[in-house]
Amino acid sequence: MRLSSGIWVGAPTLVVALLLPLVLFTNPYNRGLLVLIVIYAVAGLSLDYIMGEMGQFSFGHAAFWGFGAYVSAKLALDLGVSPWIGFVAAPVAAGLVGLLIGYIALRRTRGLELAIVTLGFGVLAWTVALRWRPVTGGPSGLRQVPPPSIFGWEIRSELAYYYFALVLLLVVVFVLSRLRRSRFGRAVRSIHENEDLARSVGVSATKYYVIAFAFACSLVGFSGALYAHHFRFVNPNLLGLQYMFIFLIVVLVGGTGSLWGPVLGALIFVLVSEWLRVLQEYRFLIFGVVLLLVVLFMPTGVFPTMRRVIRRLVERRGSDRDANAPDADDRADRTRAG
Amino acid sequence: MALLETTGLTRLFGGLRAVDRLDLRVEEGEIMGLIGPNGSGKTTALNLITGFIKPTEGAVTYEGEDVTGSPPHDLAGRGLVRTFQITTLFENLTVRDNVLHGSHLDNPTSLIGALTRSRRHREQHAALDARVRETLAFVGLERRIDAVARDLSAGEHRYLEIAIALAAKPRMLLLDEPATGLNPEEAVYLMNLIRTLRRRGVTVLLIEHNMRLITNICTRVTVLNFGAKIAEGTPEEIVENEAVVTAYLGKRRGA
Repeated sequence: MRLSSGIWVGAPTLVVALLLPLVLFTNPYNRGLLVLIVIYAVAGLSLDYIMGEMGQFSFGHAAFWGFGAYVSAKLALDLGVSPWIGFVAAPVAAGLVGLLIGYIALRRTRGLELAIVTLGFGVLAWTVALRWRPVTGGPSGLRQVPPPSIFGWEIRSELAYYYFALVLLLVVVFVLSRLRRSRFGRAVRSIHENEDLARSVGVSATKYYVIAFAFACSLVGFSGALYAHHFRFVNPNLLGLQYMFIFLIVVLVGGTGSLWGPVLGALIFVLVSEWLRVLQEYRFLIFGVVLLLVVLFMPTGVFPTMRRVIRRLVERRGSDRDANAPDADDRADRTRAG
Repeated sequence: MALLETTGLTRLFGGLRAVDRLDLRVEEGEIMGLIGPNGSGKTTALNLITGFIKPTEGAVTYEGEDVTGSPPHDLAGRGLVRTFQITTLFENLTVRDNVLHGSHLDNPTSLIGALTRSRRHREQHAALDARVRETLAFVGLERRIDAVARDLSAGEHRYLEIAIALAAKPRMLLLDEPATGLNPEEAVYLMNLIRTLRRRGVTVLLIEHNMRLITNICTRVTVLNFGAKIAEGTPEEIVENEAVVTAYLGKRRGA
């Protein structure tokens, strides 16, 4: 069931994803939106690792995103380092900082307290990026960040960068899905489910949570580097709360605890945001309302709700007898929302 | 040498001596009962031994080594595993996943193996899955393997809790009121389960209110009142003990 449903959802999605820039998103601007969807999807997946897998919340997640973007941009601009090395250096650097912040925060704090501690860190990081002109370029940031190139050919066009980023998104989804069922993934999940019980069977809660947190930071740092080398600039706003809210919308609208959720959330966010472009800053007003409606009527997010409805339809057709018996996923989804 | 020993174990909560200079010795292969009226410090003692809270004074020795203040996961790694008074499960997971997640210490798979699904990984995981089934069969939950934990009956909850603890491969198991909420037949089943564990070489420390369970399976019993030990001996000696009767029922009139 799990495998087959994965293929049935995954294969058509992939085909659609490959065809999109050739059919619907044919001009460079629209293709740029596709790149943004992929970048937000990676960021959303990383935030959902904290929210869905760890059951925690970090308000400093965008700071790691911006940090990753700066690291890669800085290396390329100041040291002439290839963006490919930046794509490795950014997640490593973000992961190391994540390890430090995680170690400070996660030894004692969970839940709301952790959200506040990470919020403090995020605001601090944003302020540093804004003020430390010699390094960060101050409010205007850094420009002319070079694109990556393969065999002397620059991945500069939206189309090429989209396919490039899409491949990396697939790798991320693949790794995350395998990670869930690994010893590490199960340890993290067990702490989320019941920390005392996890400790009593030998799971070091602090160790696994710090590593899991750093992993999520590392992943979002990677997403930040992808952003920097495509849009070719970085500025302090990348570390700020605006992007934090974007990632939050991506995760909550798409659905936590499912790999397709944040991907779908990123798609919805970018497209709706584009349709509402005329409203400028008031867009977030609309998003506030959308978020409210989703949380009220689809508390598990769009993707899990869709999956449940489809499963129910399939089951009803399959056997009328069992149609009213809620399945395990259904219950798990509802629990997570509560 | 005792497998587990506490010397002068004390824990203050404000002015309250929750556990008061407790000396406890559990020999390898024993089923030691720990009883006492409500609030006498049994669960606090267990929390102190397993590292969930730190003692104000005193020491815990396990396998001849001082383990005072060691964190719970370290102790679990050394085979000292507990259950909880209020049934504690991974409620949203299936019965199988509950035991699988409890098998952290018994899971040999590597991260690289999990990512690549190497042949070695698949073999290791299949063997682990077989052990999970074995453990579930041992506690009688094999038929419920795909049920979600929260849907189990009270009795099944308790058995699953024990299965999770067993997945951690304990040398010594500390059970905190495992019979609470069980009907008489289920309690008998639990009793036989604990007996079988002992035969398999697991040492047991059992906190329980069910005196039938205590007198039937414990080799020795320690009685706490107001955090301090007031009696120790075989079950037969304990039920005759004047101090114990007084602690539970109050002083006999005119005595």
